[in-house]
Amino acid sequence: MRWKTCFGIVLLAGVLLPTVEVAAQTDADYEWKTWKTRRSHAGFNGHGSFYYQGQTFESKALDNQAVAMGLDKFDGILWGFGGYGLGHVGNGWRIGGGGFGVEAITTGIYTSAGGDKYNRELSVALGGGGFMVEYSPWMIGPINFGVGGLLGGGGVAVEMRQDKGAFNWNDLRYQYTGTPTAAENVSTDITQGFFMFRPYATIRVHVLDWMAVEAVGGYHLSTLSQQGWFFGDRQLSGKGPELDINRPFFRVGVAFGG
Amino acid sequence: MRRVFAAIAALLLGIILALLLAPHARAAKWEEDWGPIRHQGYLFDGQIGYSAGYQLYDAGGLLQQAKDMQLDLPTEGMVVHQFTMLGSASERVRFGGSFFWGSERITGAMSIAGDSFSRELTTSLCGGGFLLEYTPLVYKRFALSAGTLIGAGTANIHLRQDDGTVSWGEATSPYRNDPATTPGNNTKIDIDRGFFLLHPHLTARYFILNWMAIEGQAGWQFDTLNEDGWMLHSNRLSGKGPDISFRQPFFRLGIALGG
Repeated sequence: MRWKTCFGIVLLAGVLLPTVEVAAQTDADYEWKTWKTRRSHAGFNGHGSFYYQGQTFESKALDNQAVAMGLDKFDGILWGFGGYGLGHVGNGWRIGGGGFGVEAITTGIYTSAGGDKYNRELSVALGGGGFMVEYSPWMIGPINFGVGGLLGGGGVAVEMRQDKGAFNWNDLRYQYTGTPTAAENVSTDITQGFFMFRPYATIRVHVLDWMAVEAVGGYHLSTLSQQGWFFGDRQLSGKGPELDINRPFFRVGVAFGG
Repeated sequence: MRRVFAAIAALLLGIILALLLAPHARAAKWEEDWGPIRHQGYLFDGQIGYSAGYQLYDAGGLLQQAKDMQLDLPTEGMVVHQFTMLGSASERVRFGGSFFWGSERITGAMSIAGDSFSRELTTSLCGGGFLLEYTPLVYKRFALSAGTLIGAGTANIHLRQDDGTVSWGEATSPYRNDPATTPGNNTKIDIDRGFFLLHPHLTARYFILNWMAIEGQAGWQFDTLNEDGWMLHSNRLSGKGPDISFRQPFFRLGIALGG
């Protein structure tokens, strides 16, 4: 339900924004009026961007696991970086590609009943990339508006770690010889790949002829499910943790182009 | 190991001989067609390239570790991939950058005290840096270059085991209970060590088109990797880590695109 609302807002914005500058309909009409916007159309002919991103998520299973490990719960946002490149192909349409990686980590120290202390960590990492299409012909002064989407694939990893802080090579390697013994300095990660679609709306402010700052809001839609988690090459039996990443994301970045 | 070394050396020798002989086939046409438009008839002004090859290494104590894990022994060689970019600084000197990665993965299934287990031992290497190349010998379509990569890299050792059917509950068990009394049936470790490296090498390049060349490369890795300084998560191992060494030869075959 949430993604429908979000997608509806993006579509509504796409319909309303052209009315801001209704005269601009062809490339010739997009001749910019200021030193910052002296181009044949709205925005760069080609540009690349580097951005900081927040992806919201929710997982009761992972919050429960964090509590069981003696850690704080997650704050519900995966933070990280990404980038993309887009080329203008005419009439405000841009195509290109991009990728990103975001992560949330909760760490702490666990004290066992025997008094031993362990560093513990639970993390969720999400990454992906794909093909991008954007329609961004609308300008108000140096400010460019657009809507677009990324279609591609990605993966998510949930990792648990613990260690005693001080250990040597023999402590580590003996855990993998003979019958498995105490799991004192180990980690376990489960992973899953997925297809995704990330519609978004963007505002790009051209501060220089060759640079703009941008803010983007969008929604992550993917095929991630409770089935299909893997530990190494082996698929988990039964259901894995439920992890809801079909939620909004936002990002701010700097774009360079010409 | 020696057989692999000999096979690769023979392959490279064959390629070099072929490259030396092949230019005679169209020697005149090369000068006529490409001379005026190419950099004096040879070499690209700029190029990108991909190559795949083999990096020999000394597994050291990992041989015993593989035995203890009931796995096959490492072959002490790994397939490596490399991407390269080069631009001309002068007629015979080019510089650019390169990065590479490779791994050797050994897996196996075994029965331990009546229970089935799968185990994995993977040794990985990656690196990159600044690339410098000098081309003293050019004959028709053939060029022989000497160069080196100066940069940094990381070695990684990955140990993993699982007991067959892994559920979410089993996977999380060591992290919900007292680690000292919970067996790590479904766990892994990754330890890594960064280092500086030098890759002096010889490259034989044959230009089959005026925008494409095939190349063979042989070189040797020198690095600062040693038994100290290995890391698990963000913690340094006390004492000595594994005594693995990549100070060994490497061989690569690839393709370069340029103009």
